[in-house]
Amino acid sequence: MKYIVKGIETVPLLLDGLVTTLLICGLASVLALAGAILIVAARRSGKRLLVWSVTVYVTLMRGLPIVILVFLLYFGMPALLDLGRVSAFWVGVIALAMNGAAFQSEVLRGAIARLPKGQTEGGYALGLSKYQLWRLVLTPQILPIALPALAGEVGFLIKASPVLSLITVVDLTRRSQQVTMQTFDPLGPLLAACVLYFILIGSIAWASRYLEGRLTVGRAR
Amino acid sequence: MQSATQQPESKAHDIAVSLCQVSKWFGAFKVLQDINLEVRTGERIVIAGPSGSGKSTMIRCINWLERHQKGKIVVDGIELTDNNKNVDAVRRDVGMVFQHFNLFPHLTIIENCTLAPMWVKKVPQSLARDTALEYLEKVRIADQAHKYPSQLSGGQQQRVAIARALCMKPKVLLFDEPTSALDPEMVREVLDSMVQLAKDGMTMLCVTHEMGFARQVADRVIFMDRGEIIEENAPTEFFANPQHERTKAFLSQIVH
Ligand SMILES: Nc1ncnc2c1ncn2[C@@H]1O[C@H](COP(=O)(O)OP(=O)(O)OP(=O)(O)O)[C@@H](O)[C@H]1O
Ligand SMILES: [Mg+2]
Repeated sequence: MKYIVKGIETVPLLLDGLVTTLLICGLASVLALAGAILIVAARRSGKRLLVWSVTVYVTLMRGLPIVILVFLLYFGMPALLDLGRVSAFWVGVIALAMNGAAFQSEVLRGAIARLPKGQTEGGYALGLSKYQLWRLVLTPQILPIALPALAGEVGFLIKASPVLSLITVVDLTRRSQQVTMQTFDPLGPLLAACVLYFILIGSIAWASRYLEGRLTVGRAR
Repeated sequence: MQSATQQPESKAHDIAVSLCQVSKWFGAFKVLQDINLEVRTGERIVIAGPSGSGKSTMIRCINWLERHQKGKIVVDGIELTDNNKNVDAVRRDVGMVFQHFNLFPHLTIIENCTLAPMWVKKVPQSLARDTALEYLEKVRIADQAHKYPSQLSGGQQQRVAIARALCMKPKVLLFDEPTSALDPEMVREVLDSMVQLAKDGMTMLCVTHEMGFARQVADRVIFMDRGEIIEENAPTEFFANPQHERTKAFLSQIVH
């Protein structure tokens, strides 16, 4: 009980770490979704080289521990390209986005595969353009299918983000460690970080369920 | 059907659809073999033939859902080529009704019917809705306008699909086995709507096994086998007097 109170008391000290985590994960998720859409588009392009490259990319990203990717971008790439010091914050955003794009593209691909058959030809037969087909017919059906899994991927990114502590990003995890060093309390800051991560991930799950309900509204099925 | 104010070459438009020496391959397999077919405006054609004979592929070439690799397809004076403008123009003129309806499940019935007119033809919403209700009325389903497709029976969904196609005011309607996915008791209501259309003078190409429908409305029955049109005739002749062995074999299986 004492520890819980202490943990909660420590929460305000961690807020700037929370903001960093939020910023990095928010930016990374948006970029990841954009990347995922490009990957899916490339996969569907039918252009051999393009399909092949993004397939390799997705396989690599899914197989690569995210720490290695972060180290490659933070230490490896600047050395290779002679860049000097790079921003740990942006490396964090880019690493999580690169990883997230691969996973989210698989989610989108799965959702597209679950569309009822005949939607595309139904749209084309009515004279819709490709853009209109995707905007008016396919995307509104893909979203509710993909949303829970996409939210899961965002949660996954948040849980992966503490790895950025290793490259000097003062995120929620690293901030809790700093507080520990200042207060010599090993437990309180960690508990506080726990609570904040839980709230963060929980609210994403909640928001996705809410949105899913809104998106499927009226559709009896 | 023909408007009075047409240019001298309007005679070409008496032909709604023409296929000339059309061939298509799936890989090494030749699905369509030098198909020749001319459909006059207002004509009603029923296409029959055994499974896999290329019936669907042929009519799907007419609105570019499948591409032919050889020969020439002209719809209402527009040749189907890689040119996107032509494809768009042809698709605006040609409606299609599918075996599995292909309604949009996330849209209500009325939204299914107004989507294409509003986005493709830029018809104002209120006008599009009026038109949609008119056609829904015609297929006797206007009272369901605000439901979603999944709330309707198969027969009702197929009638919505017909109304949806009509809302684009097409010059030609293609049907690909519109009743084969339906429970038997729902076939009649869909056929009734199709008969009504035929009476209104719509140019129709129907792939169907409903030989009663063929007898009732078709001007010509076309029999396909292995990618070829091997026989075509007026329905009475076609059923009474099939010429080709394969036609006879097919009819003996299907008509009883
Ligand atoms: N996308 C495709 N790729 C390869 N082969 C195909 C494809 N679509 C159809 N075929 C083949 O082409 C042939 C003709 O098919 P089609 O669907 O046109 O026949 P159908 O006459 O409509 O038959 P059914 O009565 O079963 O609908 C069949 O042998 C079929 O297996
Ligand atoms: Mg077929």
